[in-house]
Amino acid sequence: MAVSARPRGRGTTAAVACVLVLALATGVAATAVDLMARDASTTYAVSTGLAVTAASGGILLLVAAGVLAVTRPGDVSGSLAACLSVAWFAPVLEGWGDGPDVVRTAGAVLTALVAPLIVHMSSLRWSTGTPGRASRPAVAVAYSTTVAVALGLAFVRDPFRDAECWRNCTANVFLVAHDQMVTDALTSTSLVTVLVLAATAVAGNVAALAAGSSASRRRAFPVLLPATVVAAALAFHAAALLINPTDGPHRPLLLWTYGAQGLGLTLLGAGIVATVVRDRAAVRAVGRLAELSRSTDGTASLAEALSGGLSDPTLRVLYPTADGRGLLDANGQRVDPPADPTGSTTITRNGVHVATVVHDRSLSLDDLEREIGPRARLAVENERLRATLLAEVATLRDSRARLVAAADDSRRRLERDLHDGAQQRLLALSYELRLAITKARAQGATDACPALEAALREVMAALDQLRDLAHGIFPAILDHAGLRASLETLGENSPVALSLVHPPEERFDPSAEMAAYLLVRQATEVAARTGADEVVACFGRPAGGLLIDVRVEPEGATTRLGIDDHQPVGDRVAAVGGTLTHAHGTVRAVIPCG
Amino acid sequence: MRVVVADDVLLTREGIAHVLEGQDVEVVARVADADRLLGAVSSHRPDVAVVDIRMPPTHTDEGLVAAQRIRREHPDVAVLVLSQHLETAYALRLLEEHPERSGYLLKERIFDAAVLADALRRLDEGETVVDPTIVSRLLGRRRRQDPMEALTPREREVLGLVAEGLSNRAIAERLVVTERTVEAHITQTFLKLGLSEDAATHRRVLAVLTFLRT
Repeated sequence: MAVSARPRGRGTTAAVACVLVLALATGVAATAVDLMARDASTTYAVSTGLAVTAASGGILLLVAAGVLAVTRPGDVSGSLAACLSVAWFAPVLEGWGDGPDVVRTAGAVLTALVAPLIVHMSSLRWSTGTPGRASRPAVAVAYSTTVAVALGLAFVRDPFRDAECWRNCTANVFLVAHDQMVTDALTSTSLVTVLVLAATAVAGNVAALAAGSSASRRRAFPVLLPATVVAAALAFHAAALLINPTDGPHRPLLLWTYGAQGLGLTLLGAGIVATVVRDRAAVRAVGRLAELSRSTDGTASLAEALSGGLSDPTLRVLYPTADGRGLLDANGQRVDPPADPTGSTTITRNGVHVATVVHDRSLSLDDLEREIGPRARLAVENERLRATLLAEVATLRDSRARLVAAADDSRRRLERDLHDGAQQRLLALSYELRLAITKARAQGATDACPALEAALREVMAALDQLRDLAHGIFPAILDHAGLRASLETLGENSPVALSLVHPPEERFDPSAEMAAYLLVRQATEVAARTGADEVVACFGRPAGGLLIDVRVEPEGATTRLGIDDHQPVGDRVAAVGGTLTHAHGTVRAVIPCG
Repeated sequence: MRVVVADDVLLTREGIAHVLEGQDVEVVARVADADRLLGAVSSHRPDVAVVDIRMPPTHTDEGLVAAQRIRREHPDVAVLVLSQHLETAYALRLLEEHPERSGYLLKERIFDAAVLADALRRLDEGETVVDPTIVSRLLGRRRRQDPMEALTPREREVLGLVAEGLSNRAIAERLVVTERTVEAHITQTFLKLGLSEDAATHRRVLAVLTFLRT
């Protein structure tokens, strides 16, 4: 069984790029840590504590990047973490006194990327509340603005002429032409940009945490909270520099914000690693759970195991329909395909789509394939077959019910046609005959009268028969007045005494009423044939359904009701979703009524 | 006598009107649905309304509903409900509120001039009319413990005529006995059957029919 969650096309390029970035980031980290240990005069890390915090921030980010690269290949989050580590260490490189000018200049430019990288990382799908793809344009704007300003500064700032310089007073290989005014303007712009981006990140993260469910909040917390701390510290740092442009480790506020950023990044790296590890552990546990769990009737065992093990109450397992065009849930009901592809994972077996797991967006179930053992795979297959079967059964039952309803409709029309057509004509005929008789008498043609009177008697007999025939085809009273009235009429005309116990007063679905009526009618016919005294029909209303118990008095072997599933009444009851059982001369029908 | 006829089938409507006119009855209005019937009764104030039970729009029991309404709103207008079906339930519904001046007949019976004249006269005098076929079916009904077995054949005959809505005088004429004899039979019958209804009121028809039905 293979599991695919994202398109594989971009995977290879992204993986290669990730490896390159990781290698670069490792080199940068090593250099930076070494520099901080040897000579920290050009960084904020003036005390051992700050140095350790800063170093741990960058290193843990690197570790997180490595973990992400291994467990989520093809995902951009690994590369992002590595870039963030590089951007964090960039100021140290910029302050490298003996370093090559190119490296120092690169450091100067890359420093600015911390803010947009934090924004980008926060917007990845850590929880159901994070914007994910929707924030791509905003992230693009963040990057482009930052890079434009940073490059602009590189082109016009001559560090030699900068009275405020402390970290880098010599190196800028990109310098084109010095202009102090533009430099000052661009410096302010870059600080404002950082402030805005950081504030956006804080607001966005708080909103994402508030919007998600409590389960997704728990999942996103380890990543979003540290990211918010870093963003807030960035914002304070930028604000402090805007108010007082003097930069340098002699300002305690700047040291505090630096330390906060270091701490935040440390926690961020640790949080990312923790999230990944926890997800993998959960999936592994679930794989074992799926092997062990087996509910008594085998229904939805896989979905329950996954949902509980992954702490995702929204998790559902769907199965493809037989024609492959739709999806069914575990009970065979058709379901719309999930709108958000990031929230569903497809499970295939030998290239055939076997199931779709719909889950919280922030879950990554790529490991599901490896963790689900052979027994769980069988469970998935079984559930899929069951769901398909249930769907088939539902379709069959619907079509059967339609057939029955159609048959009843045509009988209804037939009765109506008889009533409005043939019966009316015979009525008219009877009237004409009476007129003729009266006229014959008035004119004294009395020998015509006997024939006419005989004809009239025939017509009246025909009307009588037609009335009973029409009633036998379809009892109109059932449609008009319901079960009770029609059964009472049945009792009046029945060859066997009929007793009704608690006949229902309310109306039901026409097919249900017809099934119940025919059941009692057939019972009276059968009882008459076998010479019974009486048919007793008891009614009940269990849980919204209709229960009919029909028995024959007196009880005895000769009066056993011969109603079973293969006779038309049994078919009818089954067609409306009911059941027919019999024991000891009693027939019980239970018909579900909406 | 002035009569309104309501039936949605033209041929039948005209036929009924013709038979009525043959009885020296004035047909003041012919209508094809319940709303027009109610309107005609309000404006013409007939003595009797002859109503087919099955009329548009649903062709179920519009006529019956209209008849009940007429009896409620115009107590001096009698109703004669015609049906092509023998439905005791409908007869009981009709008689429930105002049994006097209410009648339920099989449509085919109305073309018999004698039956029609008799029905109209009885309704006009404030009595009840129930189609004999309904009554005979009810009487002939099979029952496990038949309480009717306690009655003599004569009592059963009398009971049937009571169920048809005949007055004591009419029953006496039919059976060629005195009215006093009829009264005695009825009282005795009601006692035997355990009917608490006052044997002298209009509601006795309803009581007997209900008893025969259960």
